[in-house]
Amino acid sequence: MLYTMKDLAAIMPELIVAVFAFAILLIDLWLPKKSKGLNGVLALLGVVIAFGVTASMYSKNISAFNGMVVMDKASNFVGIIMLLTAFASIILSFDFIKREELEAGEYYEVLLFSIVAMQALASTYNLITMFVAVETLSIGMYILTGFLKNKNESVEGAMKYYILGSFASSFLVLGIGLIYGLFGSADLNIVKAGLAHADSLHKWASILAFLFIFVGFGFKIAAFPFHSWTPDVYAAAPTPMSAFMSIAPKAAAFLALLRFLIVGMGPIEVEWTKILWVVAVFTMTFGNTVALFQKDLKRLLGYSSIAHAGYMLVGITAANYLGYGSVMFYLFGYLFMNLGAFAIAEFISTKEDRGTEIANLKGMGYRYPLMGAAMLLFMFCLAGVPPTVGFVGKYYLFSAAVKSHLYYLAVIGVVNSAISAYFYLNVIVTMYMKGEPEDAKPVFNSVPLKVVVMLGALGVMYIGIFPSTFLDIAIHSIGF
Amino acid sequence: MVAIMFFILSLITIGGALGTVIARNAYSSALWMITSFLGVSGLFVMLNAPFIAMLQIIVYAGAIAVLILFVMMLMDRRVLENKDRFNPQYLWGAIFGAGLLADLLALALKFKIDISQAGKNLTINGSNTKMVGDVLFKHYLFPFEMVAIVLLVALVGAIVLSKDDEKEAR
Repeated sequence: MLYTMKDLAAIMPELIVAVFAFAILLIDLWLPKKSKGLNGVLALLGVVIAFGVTASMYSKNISAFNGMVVMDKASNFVGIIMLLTAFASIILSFDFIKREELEAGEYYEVLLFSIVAMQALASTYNLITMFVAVETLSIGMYILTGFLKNKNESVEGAMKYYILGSFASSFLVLGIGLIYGLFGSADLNIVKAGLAHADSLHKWASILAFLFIFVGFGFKIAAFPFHSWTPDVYAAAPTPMSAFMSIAPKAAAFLALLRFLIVGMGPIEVEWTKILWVVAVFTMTFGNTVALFQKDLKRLLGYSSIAHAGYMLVGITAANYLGYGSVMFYLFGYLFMNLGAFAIAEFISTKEDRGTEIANLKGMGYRYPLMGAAMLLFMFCLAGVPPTVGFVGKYYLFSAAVKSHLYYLAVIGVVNSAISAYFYLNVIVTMYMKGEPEDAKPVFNSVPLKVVVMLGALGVMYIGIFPSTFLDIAIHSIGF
Repeated sequence: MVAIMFFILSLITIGGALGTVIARNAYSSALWMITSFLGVSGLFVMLNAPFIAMLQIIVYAGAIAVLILFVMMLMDRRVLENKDRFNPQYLWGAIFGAGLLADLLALALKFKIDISQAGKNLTINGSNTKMVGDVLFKHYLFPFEMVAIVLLVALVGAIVLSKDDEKEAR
């Protein structure tokens, strides 16, 4: 059993990002304090090259390292989502870490290593690789959450995330152990073959194992009973990292969950759709109702991300290829709207305190017309108003549910979107109709940030108006 | 002969574990724990798993126990002495422990698992260690390399988060 170049080709994007991470680790030692900004440029370069490679290898289908790693359209599609997110978050970080006096190469290094872990998580059918990847990316996220270590809030958020995350990981590894004990392998294809003609004991034990593993993944995607870390962590983390961790780890975890459910747990689809039905309903409803009472923009986005995880679970519950494809498309659209909204949160934040209260947005629509208009677009998009990408994504998710005759689920989803419109529109009302604040706080004037906001707005509009190409790619990316 | 060896090793293991709990002094507790680890590693040898036996000695008896002793050396003696040996949860602990023991005994009696051949089936050229290496570095090469990244990230993170910036600036 010798590994060849073919095996290396399958992990090419991972390798490139890892090489740049190691390069930053070493180069950072020799950089004088003045030119620490070079680290960010280097990280950006690595992400761009990895993006190019992923895009050029898009329709490859390679299985490597003894089936430990696969490279298929789905992994590449999610890889593109993650690298785009990383690209934007690194740009958002440029001025942010200068302002917070955090000029450390480790910031970008940990970020790049967690991207490597996410890429590995998205491209494997092996539960052991999945577990190692989940651990790596979680540790990276814990560190990045606590990076503002002179702010108590950030440290507290990191600690909460760390404790709850380790707890969820222990469930994940317990489930994997159960699966391994039942079927003698951690490879999902072998699990599927074993489960297809298993007796009822094995079947019930694997439902138990599914529940354990779902705790692990549910934690990563912020599904209902495992969501409680989300608002705290998003509010506490450095804003570019909140943007990053609201999209990239979710995308990777959703694909891993899809692989686990479709391939590994395929024979017990009837059982897991029932469980996911309940989880999806509670996730949507909880996220949206609690978001109604939020005063802080970052916390609001945290609850809204729980609700959006619920919408995407609707697509998985539908258990047809339209549903799986719409989850991928939704993730792709979600990338633009959420990055934009978090960029605006960074725009109004200040160094001294958090400064992201929704009340601080008062009169922003008139003082900064361009940023205000972009925020209006992002809020409409998150609420799912046409012609933005949020509408197209939700439309396909719910129509997949209807296609599988899950009418109640689709109705609950639509009702939830209507509830969510209240708090998203509230942000817009605050921006345009609540008058001027008595003491207008200075905003964070950063050119890279504005570029990201504009790119996000452009993406939201463009994909919303011409969705067909992207939809086609997304729907056909799930081929397992 | 094998049975006698097993009982001696079991005695060392259980005795060591009991000593860990009962000892009045925290230092002797740690030493009793090493005794228990050595017994466990002997049990692994009896299961034809010499590699895990050596790991048990190097990692547990060597590194972890020594680390615990080091920490105790750095601490104030008075913190360690005259402590209650049992916290209020000992009853629950005893109940759960008894339950687990009953569970294990029931399983052992019901399925009559033959472990005399346990490690012998998992060998290459008669060597269990070779088998472990083969599986780890060939079959599981990719996750193994990922673990290297986990350790690196954790290390970097620990340093970054615990570094004192104020001191450095001075």
